[in-house]
Amino acid sequence: MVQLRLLETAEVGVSALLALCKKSSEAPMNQSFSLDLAPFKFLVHTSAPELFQRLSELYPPSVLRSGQNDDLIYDFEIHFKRRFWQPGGSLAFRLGQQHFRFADADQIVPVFEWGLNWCVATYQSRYLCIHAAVLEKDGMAVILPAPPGSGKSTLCAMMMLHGWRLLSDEHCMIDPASGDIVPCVRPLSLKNNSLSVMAALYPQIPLRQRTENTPKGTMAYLAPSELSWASRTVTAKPRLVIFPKYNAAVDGLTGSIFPPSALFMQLALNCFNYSVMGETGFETLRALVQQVEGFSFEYNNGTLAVQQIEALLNAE
Amino acid sequence: MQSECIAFLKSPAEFCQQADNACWSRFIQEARQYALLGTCYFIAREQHLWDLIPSQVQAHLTSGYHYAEKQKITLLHEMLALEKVFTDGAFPVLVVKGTAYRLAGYQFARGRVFSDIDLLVPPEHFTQALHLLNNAGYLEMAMSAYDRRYYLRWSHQSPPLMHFLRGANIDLHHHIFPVASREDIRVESMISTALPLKNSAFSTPAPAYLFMHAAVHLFYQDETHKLIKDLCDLYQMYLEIIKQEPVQQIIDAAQASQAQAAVLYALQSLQLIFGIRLPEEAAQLLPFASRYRQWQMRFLLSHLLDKTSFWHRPAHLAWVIRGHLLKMGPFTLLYHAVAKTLEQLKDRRTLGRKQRELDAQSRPGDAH
Repeated sequence: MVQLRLLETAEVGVSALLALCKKSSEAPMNQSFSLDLAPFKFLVHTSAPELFQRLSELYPPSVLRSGQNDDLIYDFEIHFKRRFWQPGGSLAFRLGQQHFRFADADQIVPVFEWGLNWCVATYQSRYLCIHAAVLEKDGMAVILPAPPGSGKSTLCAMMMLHGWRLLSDEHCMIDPASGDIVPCVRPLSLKNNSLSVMAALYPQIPLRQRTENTPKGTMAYLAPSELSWASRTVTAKPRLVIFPKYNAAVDGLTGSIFPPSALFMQLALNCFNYSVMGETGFETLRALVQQVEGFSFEYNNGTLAVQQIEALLNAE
Repeated sequence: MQSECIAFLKSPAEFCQQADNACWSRFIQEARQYALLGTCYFIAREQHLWDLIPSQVQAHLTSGYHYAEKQKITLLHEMLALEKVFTDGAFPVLVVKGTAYRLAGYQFARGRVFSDIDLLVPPEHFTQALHLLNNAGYLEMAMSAYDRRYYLRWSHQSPPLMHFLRGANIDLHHHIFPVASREDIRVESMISTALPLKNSAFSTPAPAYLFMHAAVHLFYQDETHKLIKDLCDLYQMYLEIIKQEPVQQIIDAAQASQAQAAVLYALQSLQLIFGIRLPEEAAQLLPFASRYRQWQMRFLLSHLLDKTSFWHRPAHLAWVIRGHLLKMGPFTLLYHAVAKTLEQLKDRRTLGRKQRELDAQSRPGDAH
């Protein structure tokens, strides 16, 4: 198929001329940094000098490092740069030649974070990846899958602030070989109502990089606890699966048990890569369902939900 | 040469023993970009090199393997649906390119991914085949009036078709190279020598014609974003084909299809890049490409593959212009360039908004 992309051809032409004038056409303001997020390492090249500074509010120095280290193997090399022909002067998030999204200058942090999610959800199928938050206590992990808007991240944040170790608020990655959950610790993303709920419950806890008017509304981030960062390579055994749903009309908390077959189907529906992983995905999920108990919770009080989850863990 | 994937394919054991971490980082990015992770997975497994590969890299190769296996199932499912469309066998229908590699059972097709199903029918049966596909639910995708006319008037295929429920993409070809081109590449012998698939309405081109088609596709194209993948395919295909039949068959296929120059470029490039021994039979093709053209191809390819080269970007631009000129000749290209410029200038104001709307709809998994 021939599609003469004028603007891209023009870009090629201009950069060819630049290359003739100057051997390296890389603009000097470009900056590189790396994010060492077990099990993935990201190398980022950006033309936005403020990005590193803004991310340093969310990631500790042991994770976010300036420059490129040739002794490491980077899983994802990302370009988050301006393209001169793109209207609005926005930045394009790209992995190789694959475009993800454009971001206005004031929205670079949320788009960057979504871009990291996209890389993992789209390009890895070594681990079965469920769209769920995962937290661990006493070596046992609780998986919280839920559609957006159900209060999953708020509950996850509350559990972390109650001493649970965060493994991920987005990607529950299960190793098909061992059945263990592999952590991918990242800042916890909170949005809209969740922000006011958290501010009211924990006024002393800072919510960082607040960004208004994103496609998902207002976003802000909660930094993972020191425990979560320190143990970011330690896997956990799955024990419980809870489908949480915040519902103001419920009195306290109601719950029901998921039979294994229904739990299997619900988890498969929440997977990013169940269909890609074929038989391996099926076997991994089958083993998981045999290993865990599944519940659905509706609650109007998050503290009650956290207590109930702890009670379920201790009941065993 | 700076391509890690090419280095891996050329000598997998040596690559695995010698690669440092920076090299593996580049390998992962490149293999992902060119969809070669699955291919490399199978090579590493077959050649017992798996344990030499760092676990971080193994994870990506495994991801590529899973994705390729999933695509294989999707392809076979779609081909079963297509069998019903062409079941009466009124005219030959060839599956070509990636789908043919897979269906004809080539070893190098394992782990390979593809974006659409390519079918080739004799030009006189093209309208009939298109009707059959339309009636089965494969419909044209939305595109501008100019683009649609471009396909109908100058191209070698119908506007891309998509199944209205399953989303499967089909390119229905009547030739293997645009009819607007001054290169008059023939398909008659490719069709008449095609090998029928057992218990199927479809045929696949004979091995030599598969190679010829891949060579035309690679060396007459205007794009560079799949160059490394195409070169790796061509190399593996060549090694497999010459085990099955004499090189002379490839030369004969080139001559019967009037694609001598493309096949000469292919053989010379495999010699330049992968170090194959240039077969003596290739001398029969030498009169079809001037020494300047042969030098030009060597120059462009070596600088396209070397991102650190001073000439990398100029070579890219030259490749784009050369490919367009080959596809449509100077006058049609001039017309096409003016028309596309006007169309894009008209759309300029809405380009950003359109892109954002597309972005907002993107979901994890879309990139594949």
